[in-house]
Amino acid sequence: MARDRQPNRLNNLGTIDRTKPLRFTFNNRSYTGYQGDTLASALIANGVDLIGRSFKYHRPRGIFSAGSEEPNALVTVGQSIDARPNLRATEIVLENGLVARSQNCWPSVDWDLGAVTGLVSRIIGAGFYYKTFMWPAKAWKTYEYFIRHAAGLGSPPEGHDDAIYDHRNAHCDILVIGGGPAGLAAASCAALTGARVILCDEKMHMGGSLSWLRADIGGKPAADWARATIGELANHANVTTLSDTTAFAIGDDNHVVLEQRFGWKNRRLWKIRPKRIVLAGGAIERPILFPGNDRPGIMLVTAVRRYIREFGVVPGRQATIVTNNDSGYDAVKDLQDAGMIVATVIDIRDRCEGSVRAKAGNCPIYMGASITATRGRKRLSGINIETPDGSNHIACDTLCVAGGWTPSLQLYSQRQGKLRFNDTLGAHLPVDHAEPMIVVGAAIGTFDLGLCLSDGWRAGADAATDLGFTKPVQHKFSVTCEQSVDADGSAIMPVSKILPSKQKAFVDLQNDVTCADLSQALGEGYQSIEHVKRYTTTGMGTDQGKTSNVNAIRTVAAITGISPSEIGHTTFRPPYAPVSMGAIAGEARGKLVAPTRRTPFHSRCTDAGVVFLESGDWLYPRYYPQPGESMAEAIDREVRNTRRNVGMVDMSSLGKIDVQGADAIAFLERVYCNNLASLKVGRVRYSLMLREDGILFDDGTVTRLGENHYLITTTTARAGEAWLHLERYRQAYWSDLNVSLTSVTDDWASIAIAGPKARDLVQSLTDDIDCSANAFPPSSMMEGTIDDMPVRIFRVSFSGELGFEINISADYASSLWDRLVGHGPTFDLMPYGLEALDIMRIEKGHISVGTEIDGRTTAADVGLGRMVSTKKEFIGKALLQRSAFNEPGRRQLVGLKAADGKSAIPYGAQITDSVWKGTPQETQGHSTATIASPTLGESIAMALVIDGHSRIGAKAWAVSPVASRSVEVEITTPHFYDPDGTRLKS
Amino acid sequence: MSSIFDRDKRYSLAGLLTKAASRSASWAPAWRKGASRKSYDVVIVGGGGHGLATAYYLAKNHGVKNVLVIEKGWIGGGNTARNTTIIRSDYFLEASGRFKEFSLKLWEGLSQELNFNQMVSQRGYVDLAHSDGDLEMYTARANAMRLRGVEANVLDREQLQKRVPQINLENDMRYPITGALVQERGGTARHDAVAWGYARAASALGVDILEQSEVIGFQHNGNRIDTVITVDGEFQAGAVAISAAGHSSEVARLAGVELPLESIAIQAFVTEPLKPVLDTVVSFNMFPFCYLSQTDKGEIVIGGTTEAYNSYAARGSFSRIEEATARCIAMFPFLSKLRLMRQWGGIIDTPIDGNAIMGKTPIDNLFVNAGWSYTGFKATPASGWTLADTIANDKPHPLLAPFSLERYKTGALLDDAGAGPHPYAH
Repeated sequence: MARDRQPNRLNNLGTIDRTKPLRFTFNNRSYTGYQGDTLASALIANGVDLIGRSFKYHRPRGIFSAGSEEPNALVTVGQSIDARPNLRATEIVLENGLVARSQNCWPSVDWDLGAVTGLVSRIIGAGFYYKTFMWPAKAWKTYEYFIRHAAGLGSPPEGHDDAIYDHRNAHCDILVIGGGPAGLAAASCAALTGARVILCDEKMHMGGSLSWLRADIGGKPAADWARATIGELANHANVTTLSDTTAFAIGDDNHVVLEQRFGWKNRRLWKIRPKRIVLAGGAIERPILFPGNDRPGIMLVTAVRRYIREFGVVPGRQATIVTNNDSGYDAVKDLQDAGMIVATVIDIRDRCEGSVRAKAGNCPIYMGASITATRGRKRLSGINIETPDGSNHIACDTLCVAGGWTPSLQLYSQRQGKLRFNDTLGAHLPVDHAEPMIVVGAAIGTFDLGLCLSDGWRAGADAATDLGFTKPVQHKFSVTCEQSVDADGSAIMPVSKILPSKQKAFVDLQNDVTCADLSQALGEGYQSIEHVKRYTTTGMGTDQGKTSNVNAIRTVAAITGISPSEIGHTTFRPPYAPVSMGAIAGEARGKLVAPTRRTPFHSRCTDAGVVFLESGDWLYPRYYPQPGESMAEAIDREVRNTRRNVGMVDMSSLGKIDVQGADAIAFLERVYCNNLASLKVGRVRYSLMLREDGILFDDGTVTRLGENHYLITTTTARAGEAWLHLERYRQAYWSDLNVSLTSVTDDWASIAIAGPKARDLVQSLTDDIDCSANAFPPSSMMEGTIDDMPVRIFRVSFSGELGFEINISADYASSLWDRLVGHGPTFDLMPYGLEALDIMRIEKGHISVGTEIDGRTTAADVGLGRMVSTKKEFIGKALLQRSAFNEPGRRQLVGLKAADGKSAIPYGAQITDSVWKGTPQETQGHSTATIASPTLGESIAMALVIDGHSRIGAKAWAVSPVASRSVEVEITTPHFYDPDGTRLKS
Repeated sequence: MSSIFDRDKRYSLAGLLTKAASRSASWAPAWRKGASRKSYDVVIVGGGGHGLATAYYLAKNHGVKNVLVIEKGWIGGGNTARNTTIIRSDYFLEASGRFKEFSLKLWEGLSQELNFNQMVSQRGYVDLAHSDGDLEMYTARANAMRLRGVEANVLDREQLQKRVPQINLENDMRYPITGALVQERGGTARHDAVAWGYARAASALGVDILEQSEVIGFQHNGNRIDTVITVDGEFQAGAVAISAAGHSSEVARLAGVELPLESIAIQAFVTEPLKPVLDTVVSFNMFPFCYLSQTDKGEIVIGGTTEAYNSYAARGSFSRIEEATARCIAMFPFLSKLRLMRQWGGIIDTPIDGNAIMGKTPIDNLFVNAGWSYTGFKATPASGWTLADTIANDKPHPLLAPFSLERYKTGALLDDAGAGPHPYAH
């Protein structure tokens, strides 16, 4: 049933639009809020106190803050596959139809069975899980099952994500982070200089404290001044303002990453490279630690003031303020004006200026007091205090906590800015607030509004003039503000009053870490603040300790007597606040995770009915099934036809590099291990590149196109790596060589024509190239034309058949394909795919990257040792001389055939001396490629076998325990088909 | 059952109950702090999991209790604190596979051995294949493991879908998944507990642990080191072991030994915690790789690929996080709706074949345990065990022997990835 009444809504205050009601649902009940509300303010308006349950003890929790520091009010928003867990009610912009619910509670947030853990909390203190659950050893799995289900916050989302995410890259002169008084002033000033400015703020409305502070700037209420200033900024062409946008990470060279939110789902990620950064991120109010400090109704005092003045809601009727600084008194008037009764002000300090105390009006003040306990299960009902004059009970439903300020310096610290603990402030401050970014305002402990504005203005001016922009005129802000400017947040309640209490004093509200936990960890020797954090999990929640880290450090200091500056702090890591994974991935989803490369023949292959294979960067033509054919049948047919007639295969994905220059041959001689000096113009040579450590790197061909002009090919898999390898040597080590490299992979379409009828087919296409055996011998290259289209034809073969590889400008690929298909029927031409090619290369015993060139084999290991020059210097030569490369025990390339001539050799087999019996056995090697050979009519494999070259003719076993198969094999040479190369040379 | 702890100090449910019942009783410090002597039989430089494990096994297995562990920061604060906590032994090469399997066996009893719950969670390690070729090589790897007596299975797509129900195998993704290699005994362990558990047990056996103390030099006597110089003073050492992860080469240089290591940053990150959803470790193997699992606390922890440049700065580029996130979402589309909570970086030390360097060095009494690259965490118990054995007997333990520094001279490389002499590529 809908409730239109908002019992805690004020009639006057706030910037919400009361003419625009919004309906929303929380825990299956329907409520109404207004445009301009957050979910938190709308829940407060409707009198919803209990929002969630805590992580460990499932204690009832309400709204604690009004921003990204919120530790308690985590909710799941959205329904079914739309649902997103762990969002902060304080950050969710209310919209019509919003559906939210509590999480980490069962059966409901009101009645949560998990709360029984509170009964045994003395047993399950810090690190208890390290001390138990060890017996019996096997039972850990069971314990863990329950632990895992008890842990976690929201429920996992399900299914795909239909939210919209995108990325934007931007450059600017000055990035101002934080749109409060200092940030607005900085941006305004910088904007006037003509600098390109980006201003961002994590809240849905810019203005920061101006939105709720009682102050006038230039005779206008602060909130009006802020609105006007933001409006002016938006009118500058050189300024971009981003609200509801969190700068969450800063990397080297000022690479700043921001998350911009559009409602609760859609996100944009900004990656900005500003020349200068002004950090005006403000400060977060700190809680005061006291027993029972976690009940719903206990809130940060500035949050209460913000809810009243920005959202027009009152979080309760009867409030008590507990403070350790003057700012607590400022709240009295705000609360009273909103109709709240301020029962008392409890000041944990011993003294306070009379002028400050006067702000409390008639409200009683207890100086030097401490809170010893709080009452109320699902809503605060009262507190017990201890004053120098005795104990007292105070009834109240709201306790406003003012524990001083913690400047938001996470981004400063991420950028390697150093922090030092300031005893007065009771928190850390930058050691140098001009480096590595300019820090202004509350972020460096400046709380005077006038100073924040003028310092902000100066920061904008400094950043702009530093970049060469003309200094703007001085600007004077006339400010009236009765707000306390006292930065003193040093007072804490003594731990001697906290630790003995029966009630828990939570340092980290989200992770349920108490003062007692910290004390226990210290007692057990976990004394480094990093150890304290890890052992107790303090500061490890989704708020990353925004309200708890400093209190943890100060509690440790109080217990150990070590000063906070000596204790140091844990590392601030990105992100400043949790950021959507979808936003980080952006549009990189589905097929767009990485670019897909298609060959120039792609459309023709598609027309020919190809089945593509997506592998690595490429979409390869895999096989071309005819109607009714299975994959195996199609591949079989393609192999047979190529071996019997002629086939054509797209080879365009091979890397191709054009090498030119007077020292081209000197360069190639160094990068290939085989001799190339003797290569004549128009000749092609199969060549091997080695890595520096002597291991095989890549194979391909080198063709000499002219006097100082070569074309080299690489494998598809290593094309990128080979290019980097060659360019690194050319640029970094051999810059004296006159050689240039050009990647021409995408410029040339390449198609291999292979089979006994290949010559006749190719000859039928060209008039100006003589394809006869004498005129066009193996390993040569001819240039000419096919129907006036310039081509290079290479006599090379991977399949082992008579082969011609035609290279043609990629733009002519389709024309060439059409000519081939047009001439094809006369010669029984069929296209074949990668699978058939792979089968034929295995039949032929040709090596391939990833299988035989596996990053461990040498040229000698794969039977190509004779190619390695002994005369020249080349990459890999020196380390190839090492003893282990020449000793027995290396895995060497061999072929395998089933000993019985008919069994299928198991795929992915290990090679052993005897049949697999299920007990451990020494391996003798492994198979690298196993096929059922259509040509030989039997199962064959290539394998790397220990000392294999000396075992040709011997028997061994190919075993696959995972397939429960063992097949006795004969070790052969890997050259199963046409070992003498008669066909290839024909 | 471990007997190295007095009854009052032994961790147990009964102990927890007793302490809870009494307001005054509390647990003793887990380990003693500081150096109590000026002369030690063995000084270990580096108080991470590896160094502390070495100290523990020296004391436990070899009775060498006069041991000092020196840690520059806080124990377990280097890569022990920064890894993605994966344990497994699914390696192709015999030396790597046997070593990691020995380690996995030690992991399986480690909570009881150390009387400190290591949360060894054998929820399976699923290594994804992205082509038929991958699957064939994974089959060869699984078969190699089976020959060693180690359980392993190869799953096709259908079996994989059953094993990891949340995984997306639809054809709408880039780098389609063709199957997987699964080691069910793989999984995760609680990283911090490893350092603390070894420290506590070693300390109970008499080992000294000096934190916040940096080694700044060594004094040689002939071809031996006789003094370790720290910012807190000098210590006589019968033998010295360096176990300083990303900074091992720097420490070794102080001793006059050059290690063929490069130090590279690598990043990891976690999402906000959520209720159980992912019950195994999954690794995506198209470069840049990523691997993920869900912690007992509920966060999804995601590890990424090394940066392509050398650095001692424990932070990396945002693009690596983007790439890993995109791959994770491709595998598990629901992850898109979660939020990243914290990112961090560590420095890994990688030699040119991507495998560890352990054992003796050109200096007679200097031992090294370094170069662990991506794989150091899982190796912690075994490297502690075998290095302790090597130091105590002044002779390489058989499992450790193949990982000698000498192998770069002989060429007996141990390149599991086949990635070659560029450390960033491993």
